[in-house]
Amino acid sequence: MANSLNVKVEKRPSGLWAELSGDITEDSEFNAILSEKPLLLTLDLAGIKRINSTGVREWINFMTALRKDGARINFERCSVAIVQQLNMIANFADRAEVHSVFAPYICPSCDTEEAKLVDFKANPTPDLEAPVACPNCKETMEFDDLPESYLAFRQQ
Amino acid sequence: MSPILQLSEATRRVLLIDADPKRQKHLRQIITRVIGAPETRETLGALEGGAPYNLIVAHYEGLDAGDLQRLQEFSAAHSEPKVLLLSAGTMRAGLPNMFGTKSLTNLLATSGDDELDVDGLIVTCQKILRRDIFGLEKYFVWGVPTRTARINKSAEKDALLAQMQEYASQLGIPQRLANLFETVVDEFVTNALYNSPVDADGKYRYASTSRTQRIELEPDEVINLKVCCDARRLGVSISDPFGSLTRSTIIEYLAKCFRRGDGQVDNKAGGAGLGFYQILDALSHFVINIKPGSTTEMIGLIDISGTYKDFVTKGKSFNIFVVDG
Ligand SMILES: [Zn+2]
Repeated sequence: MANSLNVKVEKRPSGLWAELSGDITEDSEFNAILSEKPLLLTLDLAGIKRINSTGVREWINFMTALRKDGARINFERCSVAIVQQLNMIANFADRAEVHSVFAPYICPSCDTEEAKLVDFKANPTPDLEAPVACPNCKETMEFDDLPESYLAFRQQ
Repeated sequence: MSPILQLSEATRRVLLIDADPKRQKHLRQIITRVIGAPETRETLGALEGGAPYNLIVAHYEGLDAGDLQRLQEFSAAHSEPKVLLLSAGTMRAGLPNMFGTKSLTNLLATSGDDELDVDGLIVTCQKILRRDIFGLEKYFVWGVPTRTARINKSAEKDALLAQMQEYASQLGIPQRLANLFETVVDEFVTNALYNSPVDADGKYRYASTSRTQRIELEPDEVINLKVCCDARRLGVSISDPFGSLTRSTIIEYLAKCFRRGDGQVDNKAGGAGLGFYQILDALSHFVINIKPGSTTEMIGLIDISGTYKDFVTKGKSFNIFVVDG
């Protein structure tokens, strides 16, 4: 079932912080953020599970509206689903800066799947294939995507 | 003694182009045993006027721009494109160029080491040659259980997606692969409900309708969804009773998305024009079967034999088949 989009907004000294979770679809609304007319906005995207094709357009329209309001935007903790769209859709991030993303790992021994945070400020050129221990069985997990193109959106 | 086995069907002329001797031999064996001995060439060369082939099979990576042009002309000269390209291209390398230049309608994946999906090759060749195109079952062996669902209003989509999530979770496949399946079902259903229905004059009924607006088809206009799974692949098909989709529509939308230009995302009323692109990204094999004015069937196969990385490393297969009424 499409999990509806949840938006939690918090005013911080560093600007508006919005935590988004669920699915981005045709039914998604971003008014809780747009109505604040933020000048500096951080979107925490760790909880986004899925984005369908009409959801992509809702998102692009949201980005366009923010830009028209003059907002500076940062993406933090982008989920794997968000990274997928960053790579597929040319202006998915519009002019936002992507500060950190989750990278997917899977354990070849016990099939545990886990996403690990990659922070570009702390590590501008991350090695996605560096060993990651499985939280379940302690075996070394494998990066579960193509290391040469998972972060391709940073070059586009 | 009367013959019990009819040895030859109508003659099918197949041209096989492959410069790699080992690979050519392997392909020739399969085609010989299933269809009949093909003519073979190392390079395409000239296709003499009205080249009398029922099917041309070629490795995309071995073709130059002139070859592709001649194959396109060959396709255009026939009511049905009868060119099957084999390629190791993926969403991120190879396919953007192939789809961006609209140079294909039938593509079969080979993996990086040129391993060929033999079953896929046989099914695809036969569908091109025999014009018997419909059915998810063609891609699975007998005995694989199929589950079906019927839908005819958009309000039922969320419940259907919930059921499909449950189905994928019962299969015990990695979450990333289950997410692909959900994406495909979502886009299949939205496309069938909003983009397919036409009125008596052939005008699209809901293509420009906002996807947030609920719609309901007539009681006899039912969308059928099927799912099945074997150890290797998870399959889903959707069929509508309209047959309004055209080959050029699919090719245009995919080309637009792969070019990644300003118009990648449509800002018109209705859909975003990204559905086919999202579907292709989420599938190992995407098949579109069309009987104009009667039926459109989309089939999606996801390779679930390994991890997401295995899925995304392998090439993609893509076919459009059209049969006349
Ligand atoms: Zn483990």
